[in-house]
Amino acid sequence: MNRRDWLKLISWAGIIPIIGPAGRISSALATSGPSLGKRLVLVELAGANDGLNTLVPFRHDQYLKLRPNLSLAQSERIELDAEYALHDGLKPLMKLWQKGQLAWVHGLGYPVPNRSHFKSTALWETGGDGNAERRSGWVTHDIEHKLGKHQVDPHGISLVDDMGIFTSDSGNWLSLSNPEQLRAAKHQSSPDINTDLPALSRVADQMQTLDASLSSLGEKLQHLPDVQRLPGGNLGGQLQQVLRFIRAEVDTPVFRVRLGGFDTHANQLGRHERLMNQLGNALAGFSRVLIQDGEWDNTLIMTYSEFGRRVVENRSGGTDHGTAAPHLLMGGTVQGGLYGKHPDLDALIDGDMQYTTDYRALYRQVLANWFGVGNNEFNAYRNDALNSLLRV
Amino acid sequence: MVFKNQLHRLLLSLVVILCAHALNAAANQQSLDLSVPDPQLHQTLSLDDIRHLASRTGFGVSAQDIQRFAGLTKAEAIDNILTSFTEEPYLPMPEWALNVSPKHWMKPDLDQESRRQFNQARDRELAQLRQWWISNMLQTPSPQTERMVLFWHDHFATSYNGLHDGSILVARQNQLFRQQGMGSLEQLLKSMIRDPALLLYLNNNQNKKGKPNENLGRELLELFTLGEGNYQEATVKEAARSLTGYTFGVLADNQFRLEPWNHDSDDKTLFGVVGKHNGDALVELILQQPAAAEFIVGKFWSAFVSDQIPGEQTLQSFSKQFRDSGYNITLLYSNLLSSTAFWHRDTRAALIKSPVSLVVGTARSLDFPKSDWQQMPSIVAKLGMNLFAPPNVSGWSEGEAFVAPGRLLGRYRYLNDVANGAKKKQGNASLAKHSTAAGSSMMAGSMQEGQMQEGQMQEGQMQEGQMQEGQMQDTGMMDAKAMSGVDLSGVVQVKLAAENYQGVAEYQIDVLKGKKSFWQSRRLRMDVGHDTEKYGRIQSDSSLPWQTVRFDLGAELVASATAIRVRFLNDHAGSDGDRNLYVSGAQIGLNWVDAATGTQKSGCEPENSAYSGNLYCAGYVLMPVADGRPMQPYSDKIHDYSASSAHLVWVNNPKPGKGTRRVHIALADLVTPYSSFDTFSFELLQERDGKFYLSLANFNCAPDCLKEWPECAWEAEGLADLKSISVALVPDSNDGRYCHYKSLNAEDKELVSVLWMSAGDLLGRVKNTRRGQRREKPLSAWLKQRKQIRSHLSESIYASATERVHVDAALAPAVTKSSDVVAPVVAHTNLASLHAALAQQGLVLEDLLFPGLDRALATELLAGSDPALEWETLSVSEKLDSILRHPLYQVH
Repeated sequence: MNRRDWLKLISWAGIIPIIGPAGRISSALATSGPSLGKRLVLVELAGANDGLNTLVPFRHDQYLKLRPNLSLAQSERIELDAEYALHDGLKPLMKLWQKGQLAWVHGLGYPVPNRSHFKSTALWETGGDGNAERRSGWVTHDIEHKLGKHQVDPHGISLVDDMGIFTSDSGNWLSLSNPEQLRAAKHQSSPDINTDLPALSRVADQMQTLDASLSSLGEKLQHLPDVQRLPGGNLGGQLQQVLRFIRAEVDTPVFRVRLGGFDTHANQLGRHERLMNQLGNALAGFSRVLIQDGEWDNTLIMTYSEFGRRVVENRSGGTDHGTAAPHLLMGGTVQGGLYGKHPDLDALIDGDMQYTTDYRALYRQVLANWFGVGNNEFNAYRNDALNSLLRV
Repeated sequence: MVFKNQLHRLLLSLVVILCAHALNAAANQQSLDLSVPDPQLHQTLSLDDIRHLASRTGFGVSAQDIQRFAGLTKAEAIDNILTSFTEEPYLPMPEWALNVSPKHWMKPDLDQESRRQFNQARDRELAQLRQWWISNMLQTPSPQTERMVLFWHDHFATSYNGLHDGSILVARQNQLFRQQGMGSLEQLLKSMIRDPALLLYLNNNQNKKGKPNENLGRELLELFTLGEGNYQEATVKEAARSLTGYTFGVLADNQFRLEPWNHDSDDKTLFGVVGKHNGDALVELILQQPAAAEFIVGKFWSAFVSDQIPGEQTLQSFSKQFRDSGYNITLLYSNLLSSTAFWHRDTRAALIKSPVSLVVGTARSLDFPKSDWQQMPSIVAKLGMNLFAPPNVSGWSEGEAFVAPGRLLGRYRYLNDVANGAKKKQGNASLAKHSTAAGSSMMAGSMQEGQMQEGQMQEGQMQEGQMQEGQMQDTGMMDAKAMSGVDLSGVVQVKLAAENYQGVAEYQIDVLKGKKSFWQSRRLRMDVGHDTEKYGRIQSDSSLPWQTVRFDLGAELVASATAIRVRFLNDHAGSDGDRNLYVSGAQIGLNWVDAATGTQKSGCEPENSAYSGNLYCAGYVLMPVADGRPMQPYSDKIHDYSASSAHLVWVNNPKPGKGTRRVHIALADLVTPYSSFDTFSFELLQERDGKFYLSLANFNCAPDCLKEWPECAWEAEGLADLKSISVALVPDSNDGRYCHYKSLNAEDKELVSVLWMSAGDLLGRVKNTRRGQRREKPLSAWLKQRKQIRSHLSESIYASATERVHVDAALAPAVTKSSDVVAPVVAHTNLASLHAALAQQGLVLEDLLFPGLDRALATELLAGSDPALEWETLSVSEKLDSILRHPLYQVH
């Protein structure tokens, strides 16, 4: 490739100047690095999901008393056992529940709760709490350590906007809303950098990582098999893109998707129902394809949200910012069931539920029993109630 | 082939290793003190030197920068920089940022919808502040000022996202950095521990005697002054105690105050020194630690000199001079710029550009990307540097983190845009003529009924000799006084923003009379919308690129308008983006109508009025003039004492005889014959003996409650600036408080009397507020007392006051107090005219874009492995492409 070719630039989507012919870098680097062969799909329920109307303690007096208008009627819920029911919108997940591949963990939260959307999301994404902030994604350090910093396929791909706080300063965490953007990617050559300027060589280094990554992705995505459209609106769309990456054998251990709109301060019933429908349909559709593809055992799906909502409904038919909430895990190796203890509705403090399981106990399980990082930074939050959550 | 390439790679890594050795060798020369002044300080700057100096102290290198420094010696250029720092920004801050704070304290009493509007208004103010700062960086003749403000913003990282919509707090902090960022570090630190934005961000408003919150204490030591490892954990606790009571008055314009009743004035041990240390003593003791100077020097070094750690000798020497100067920041900065280290070849191209340096620097250098200024805040945010919202208190992770693969991808998306845009713009010389804010073509309205001349409207229109639109509009929405002399009676302005996707949003504006449209604009385009395909969706109002479009329709037409309709014509969406139109509101003559109070009809949610103005689907928003509010809220006042609302701040409920019963009431927008208050509050007290008092405290009003505080007013212990008085319902000359009322001047006496006479009404009124309902029980105890209070009053000295506080919500100024305008115009040229301008100075494009390396080395790096490339034979746009897309452009 000559200089003039290099200068013939391809418009974005096409994009990036690349150091050295692409083939060379991918052949030099692509073989390196272990593969995990499994992935975690993080589903952010942005805006703070009302856990109490998701996994419902439907017989509890306090639930009925404090939610005179918002408690779910019998027709609006599906009973899981004598005490708890799911929001009816999650009905599509019942098959997995019956198969024992859907688990819920009650009452997740952290000490000194923060009620700012931004701050609390940042805490959940980094593993901090109200006493101590942390600075990079809760899973990033261990993933980079396991795979090496220069893993060819991205360490993580976010299907929404940018990685935000859920990233690290060192690894290869990309935000790509659509693999098509890369399929069209062609490669250009830029001169080798032969320099003793440290800053420049660091840039060149990062550029090589990015280049190798895009080149590998580009190659893999060239013969991209189509994936059927998934139900569940925008979330379904994002998960459909995740499936394309998976089918193209992109070896990325972390994906992040987002469903927004959970900040239901007013008129919650209808809005929350639509959201639950989307969540249920999208996740059920996603799991169906994964099962067909034989990827179900290699995939762990997990939801998170900045906080739960208050038990007491407000006067606008909605709920305000609260504290603890349940979250779900699904996948071929998940041992279905209900884990942990529901917060005591008779012992609210200032109208708020008190968390029963530090959410980092869950992170500890996932790192240890999913990614095999037995010794991880959340060991201090050990909680034996979660021990059987994932079949090892 | 593969083998050959691998070999090549191996050789390359060998080179890297060898280089690393060379560097280690350099680093081992610890005895070298590179802080000494550069021996060639009195030599004339070379072009490379100019680039180095300009890019490091400001943003990029513009043709003006080169002109400014050409022919100067290094010493003269440094002097030029030091003497042209300014405490005032080049473009004035938006009007709201200079005003009294919005009433955040009222929020608990607002209904859902009003609260949403309130928050939205603050978010939009922040969007404006971001645009203002970026346009300042782009246009200021003192880029070093903006760079230094950015340095301190990063150092004392405070995020709007943690401030409960405190747009004004971050704006004030930005001013503080301007005023004190080049003075003494001691003074700056003492101001920072009083800065409400930082206090709130680090929860120091919760740091009280007996229940300390350590957040500020810890970060002050770890991130602002000493660095981890240079203090003990016990010191954190003692530091936190020293800072107890440092907070701000929510009822008093959110200004700093030290609350002595929350301050722990017992002994503390700091760095071995025992004493009743307060915040100032803490700062002074910190600065006695040797680590303080070293820590700050380290931060300056990595921001302005190199991201390689300085040698020990060099660090020590800079630190000593800094310490010896009494922590004079200007001296430190000057020493750094004059040092051998700064001008050393190893220090050239030794820093990875921050997103702001990259984006603003490119725009300053090339001039024409300035047309994208409204989008720049969201672009730098996407590249990892959201202004006023650093990710956490440690600021932005810099250097390599800025070029992590995910971010690098974004940087190239932007630079490719610039390079491609340049080609287009070069081919379109006509663009040079319309140097509009948006770079958009002229837009004209068309008449359907009535008569008017060709509608003249141009985004960001500015002509010489004409008042800047930004200024005019800035004041227009909020301050009637400042508006005098500007006739808006014939003007319609609409404030809007867009997210674009595979093409720009298009819209049309109608002016209606009844149901009939009698004036219609052309189909208009949102060329400055945010491109969601490239940069993703915008999460918040605070990042939308707001702009104002203006139509001069004539007073007659505007007077007959009954509504404005904005239609979104071409909705579009895909899996990787979305096209949306956002309407903030419209100014019709002298009225402003919020889109949120209008009605919306569109093809998708949200269709309810609560989100009116956010057009996610094709449709329209209709804004009736009748829903508007005049821009002069206080005109035609009927009552002598009026307020827009009354609120319960606090009420207690002690058992009878067990303590003082208190109720604290706040009035919004109280206007008296003598003053007007943004916030005025007072307390009613019933002491254990059953006697009633009315109490005023200067820290609970904005501005100050009284014209003149009596000599005998109570003062907080040791703090003469916290004053209060207590006025008895039944005065008793034996009571020490007797003089409080007696010594008031006539106007203040009248005020107190009116308050007493209105107390019963006001108690009844606050009962019906949200907070009043929530505190119904303790409040009802007060309501029972009203009769008793009234009976005393009728006989009292206060009864002479015939006025009562008249409360009427219609007297409220807009909730959305944000000025409904965009920041001023940014003028720019195109590539062709830039090239011509450079040629006049004997310069070529690369003179602006290279780092401060010598040219031969830079071209060698650019040519890289292609020795056949003849740099000089490339066309301008080919050169531009090559430079912008080369890794070399990522450093400076």
